[in-house]
Amino acid sequence: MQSSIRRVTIYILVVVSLMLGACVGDSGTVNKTLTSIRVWTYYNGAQLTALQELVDDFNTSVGSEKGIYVETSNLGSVEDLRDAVLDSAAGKVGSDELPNIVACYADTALQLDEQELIVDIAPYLTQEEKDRYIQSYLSEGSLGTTGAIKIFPVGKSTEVLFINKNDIQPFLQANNISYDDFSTIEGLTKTAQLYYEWTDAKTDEANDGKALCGRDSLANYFFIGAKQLGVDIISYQDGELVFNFDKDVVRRLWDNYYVPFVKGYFCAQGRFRSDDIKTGSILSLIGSSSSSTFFPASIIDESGDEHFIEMDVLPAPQFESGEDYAVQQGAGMSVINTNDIEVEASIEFLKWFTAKEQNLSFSISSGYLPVTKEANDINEVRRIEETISKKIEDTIEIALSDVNNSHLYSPPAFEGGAQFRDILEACMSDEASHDAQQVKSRLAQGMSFEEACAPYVTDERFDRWYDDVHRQLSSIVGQSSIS
Amino acid sequence: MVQAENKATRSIFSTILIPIIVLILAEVLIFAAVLLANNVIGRINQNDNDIFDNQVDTRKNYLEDYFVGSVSNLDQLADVINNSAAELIESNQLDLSDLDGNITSTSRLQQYIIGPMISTLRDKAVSGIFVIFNTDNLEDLSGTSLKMPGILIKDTDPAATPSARNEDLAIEHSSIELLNTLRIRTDVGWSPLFNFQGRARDKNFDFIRIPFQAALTRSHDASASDFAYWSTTSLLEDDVTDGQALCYTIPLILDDGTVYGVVGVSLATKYLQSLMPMRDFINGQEGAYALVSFSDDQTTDVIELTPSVVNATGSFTERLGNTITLETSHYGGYTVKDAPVGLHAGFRPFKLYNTHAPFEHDRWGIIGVIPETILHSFSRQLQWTLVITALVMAVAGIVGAVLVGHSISKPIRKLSNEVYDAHENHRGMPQLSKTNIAEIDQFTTAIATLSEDIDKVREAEQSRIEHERDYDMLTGLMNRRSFYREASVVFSQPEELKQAALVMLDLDNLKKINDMYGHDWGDKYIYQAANTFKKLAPSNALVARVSGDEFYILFHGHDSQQEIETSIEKLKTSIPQTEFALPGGKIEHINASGGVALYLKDAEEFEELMRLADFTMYQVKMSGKNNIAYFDIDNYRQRSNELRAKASFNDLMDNCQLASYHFQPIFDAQSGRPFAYEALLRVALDALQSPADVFSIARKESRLREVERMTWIRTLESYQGLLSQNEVDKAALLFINSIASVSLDMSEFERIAERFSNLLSHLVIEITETENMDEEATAIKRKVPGFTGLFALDDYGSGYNSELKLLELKPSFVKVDISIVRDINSSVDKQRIVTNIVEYAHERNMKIIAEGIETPSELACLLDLNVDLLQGYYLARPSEVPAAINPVALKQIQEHKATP
Repeated sequence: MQSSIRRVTIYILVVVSLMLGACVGDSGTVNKTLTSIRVWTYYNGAQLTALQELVDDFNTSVGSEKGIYVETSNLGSVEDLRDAVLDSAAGKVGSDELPNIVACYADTALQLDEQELIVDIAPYLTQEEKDRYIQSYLSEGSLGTTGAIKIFPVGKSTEVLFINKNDIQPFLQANNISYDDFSTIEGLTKTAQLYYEWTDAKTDEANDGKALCGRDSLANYFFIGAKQLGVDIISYQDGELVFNFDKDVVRRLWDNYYVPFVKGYFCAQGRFRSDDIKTGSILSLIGSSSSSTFFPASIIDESGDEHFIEMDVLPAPQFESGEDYAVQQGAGMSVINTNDIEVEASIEFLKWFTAKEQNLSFSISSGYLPVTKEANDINEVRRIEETISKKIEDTIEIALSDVNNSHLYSPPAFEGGAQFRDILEACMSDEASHDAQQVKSRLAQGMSFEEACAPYVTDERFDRWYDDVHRQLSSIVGQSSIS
Repeated sequence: MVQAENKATRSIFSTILIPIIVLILAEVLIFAAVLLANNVIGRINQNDNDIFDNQVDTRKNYLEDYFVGSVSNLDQLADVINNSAAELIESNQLDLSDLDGNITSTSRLQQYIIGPMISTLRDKAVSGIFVIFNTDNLEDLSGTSLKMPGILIKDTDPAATPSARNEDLAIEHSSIELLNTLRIRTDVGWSPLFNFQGRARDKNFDFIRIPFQAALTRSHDASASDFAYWSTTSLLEDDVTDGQALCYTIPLILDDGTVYGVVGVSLATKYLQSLMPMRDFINGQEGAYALVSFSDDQTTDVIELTPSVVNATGSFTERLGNTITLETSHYGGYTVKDAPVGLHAGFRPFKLYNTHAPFEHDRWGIIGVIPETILHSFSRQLQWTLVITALVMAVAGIVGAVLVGHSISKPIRKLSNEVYDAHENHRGMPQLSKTNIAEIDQFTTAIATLSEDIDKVREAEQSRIEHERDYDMLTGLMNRRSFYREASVVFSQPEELKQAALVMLDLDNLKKINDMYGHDWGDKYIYQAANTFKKLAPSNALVARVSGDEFYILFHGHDSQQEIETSIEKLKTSIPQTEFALPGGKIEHINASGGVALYLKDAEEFEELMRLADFTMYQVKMSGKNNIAYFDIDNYRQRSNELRAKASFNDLMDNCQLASYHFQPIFDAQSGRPFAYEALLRVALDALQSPADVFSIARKESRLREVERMTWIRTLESYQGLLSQNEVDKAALLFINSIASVSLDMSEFERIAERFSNLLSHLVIEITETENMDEEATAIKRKVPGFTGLFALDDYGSGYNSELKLLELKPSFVKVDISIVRDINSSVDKQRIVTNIVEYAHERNMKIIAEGIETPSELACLLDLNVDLLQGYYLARPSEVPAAINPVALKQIQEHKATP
């Protein structure tokens, strides 16, 4: 009797609490705490649009289910973004609240990691989940800590050669040149000279030849060029950071960028080389595979004439007899160490974002390469979207082939790496731009082409520049080594 | 107690449970009534509406501040552009007449103004800033290419921290020269000119056309800001990225009045949406904000709005059409008209234009829309929570009450069962279990103690009752009951019994003392007698007072009869010597009659001993009292026969059918024919063989009347039977032997007369001479209805007063007694007596019956003496069916008659 009464009581209590639970649970959907996740990116244009569309998708589907709401902000460049995050972390006046996710490269991630701002994602992923990603992409995000994942790979890119197919044809035909000549850096340099001379010859005015090509990233040029030539500018040996700014190698880099640049074979006018393509200043560019979306559909020249063009994509040229290396650039995202709930929500979003369908969708819209093994296939890319834009398809195809066939190389991250990269980015290009302007002025003053170029193509010019850059870079590496 | 009986009895469980449940339900009802009375839910709903409307209001204030205070002040930038233009015109570097489709015409001007434009873009935190140069009348589009030089710079995320390197900006339109100067990336659709081909007729051209034309056609001198215009438009030909944008445009007017373009800022849909964030809605559930335009000529009850920018959660956008119609809600605020589900709307208009400005009738505002189900979810939840809480409270309360009721009632029930079981099984108060309820435990302890006390009292009472039951109160001796019990115990143990004797004693003079001195003295007498018996009897003898004056003494355990006799002798001699002092100094001795029956000698069974002792005692009592006698078997047997006869008599009286009546004919002495029949009682019972015995006992027992009744009824019944069977002569009379000293009641006679009416006229009542005649009885008998008054006097000549009776009775028949008839033929005296009576009788018309005739000589003599009627064995013996006359006797009669 007693126990049966007790059982009945317990039963009633359970039923009642379930009723209450159900009641609270029901209203719980109304009161579900929404975790707001702020994603800061440096994305622009199609990448930004692709991200926002996916974020909207997430917010209305999985996010709505799990109570996660994602907001994105574009903070300009990766450097702007890094500075903003550091400012926020430092609580500077006028800075925003810390974001939850930031898009970043290894170097910027490292800087944030130094401030202990980045969460190691590894514990949040099962081995199965980790295995879905291309291993090297994940390990690039380890930031030197074995097994850690500080950068969540969402898209990858390598460098390719984009060509204004329509406008280059007359030149190629007239000079019996094929795309094979674009396969080496030396070949490209030589072809650029040919193009300058060919265009110069088209007008009565002397020395008004046009540039053939431009590069978006000089830092990549340094790292990959040196790598192809057998030198790691930055490497770790026995845990020690080793800086090797091999002068001969750097000289070859110099000879294949600075020298043709000051001579007008190469050029960099707008913010990006795609801008220069747009205005007809150049016909080809070496840039990130992810920049294919920025490649213009039409050219508007200074006379205001507009004509439509098509784009060809080729693998980025490599140094003759160099090793086969292609750059691997991570479009990764790092999770900022805010609080547990937001970190978990952030990872939830990133997992969703890099799941096969979303990853493909993002790749296709933005020109990035998928990061998961199963998505890393052009056939998958084609399957997911039938109306894929031709230029993206071509780019991804070439880039995938590069990625799958070449050695991929990304310079190791290290403290001061971002600054190091900034210097590499600017040291040669700024010098080249400046000196090219000088050459133009000298030509305008009536000097002959050789005369105008003469002061800039000397060993002394190189040595002076080399010493200066070497000193700058050493000081960073030295600082880093000391710390 | 009386009241309690009127009410139905309930278990303690329901006594506890029912009131608590009623109480709980009452509380729940009061709770519900209070909530309903205060309209709590309605007020919460209204409050929710107000809160939401205030939220919309806050959003509106924020947007209005932003639009009016920040976005819509372009005068400074316009001044810079105008001054630069004026300067360049002056130095012939700008020609406003050749703008259409000319990409280089404004290159220099663009270089001049790009800086201020970017800083304005940053200052105002807008999504885009633009300047468009045009001098053509836009109402007349013929002859223009609709390709206009200008600048359009976009900031994809104005809310984010501006990039120091302007990396977050993109150029949509600018001269190539400017593009190569600025280190700002181009957007995909970059071109040097704005191209309005194909959209100059639609609203996407309004943002430039309307303010431009307003300024161009102005009738009075007005500042550019007077022509400021808010609109939504697509800034680009194929604006995939930003879609619609909200634009604020003012015309560019040179000092000389030339209108040469517009400058403006844009707010991209996405950006505007971020200014109307979904987090404002209750936890981002569902809802929408919309930036709306409307005309100000509408009534306030129903307002039609055109949404320009909508920010909505999930599928909510589809619910709001191209126009939203609001109507006022009686709860405050608005509801969306014709919405499939209830939508609450908070609506707040802006004031974007100055009064008297050209576009002041174009009104803008913001609405917030939220499903009422979500807005009022709290009140609904509260409602549910209250209902559930009430239910849970009720259920929990009831469960609690059940548990409490159970836990309280269980031990009490157990307790009750224990007591009930004890009661049912006639056990004493058991060890009661504890309930752990102080009052009840205190109660049960008290009850248990009380019960123990009662038990003690009852035991005492019991022993007192037992004593009273077993012992005589007055004397302290055993009473009859305990004597029997004890005696039977002794008799069941022969080794204990040995030689024994039972003495029964009866106080002789108790009645006398009671009568003379009162019962108190009688009691004292009994008390002293008892003491005497007790004292005189051996210590192991059982002495008992069995009734008022009767005592038993059982001697037992004696080795020899001698011992007993010695003791009895002591009793016998000592009792009469015991003195009893009466008031007045009078001394009375104890007088008692006693009977002794000896075990083994007289009887072996106790009951038999009792009977014999009792018998003996009565014998003593009847034979002079104050003595103690031993049982005498001869005496007993005699008495025993008497007793058996008496018993038979009782049986006879109880059942008259045991008696039979024989009829003896009485013959006519002349004819020898039956004249009458005498009914004679015949009994054949164990101890009662003759009618004389019957009469003897009846007389002793004073039950003659019963015998008389039997005689009457049984005689008449029998005779009736004979008559009906023609066994008797119908004309003959019937003689009944009636007892002279008694009579039945007249009422009895009446019943007899009724039953035997045909017989009474033939009836002769024969009065037995031996009985003393009772006059009153005789008088009654004479009056028996239907009786002809014929009496016969029996046994004449045998008694000492036959003549007297003859005189008193005056009978019709006189029966000469058998003692005279016997041998009359040889006795002259007897013959003389008969001759006299015959003479006497005949003179008085009486008839003489000679009875008991047994010989022919007697008959011959009697015939000679001239008797009238004859009766006797010689003639006919009595029998159930009367016999015919002895033929010899008949012949003798007939011969005598024939003899002269």
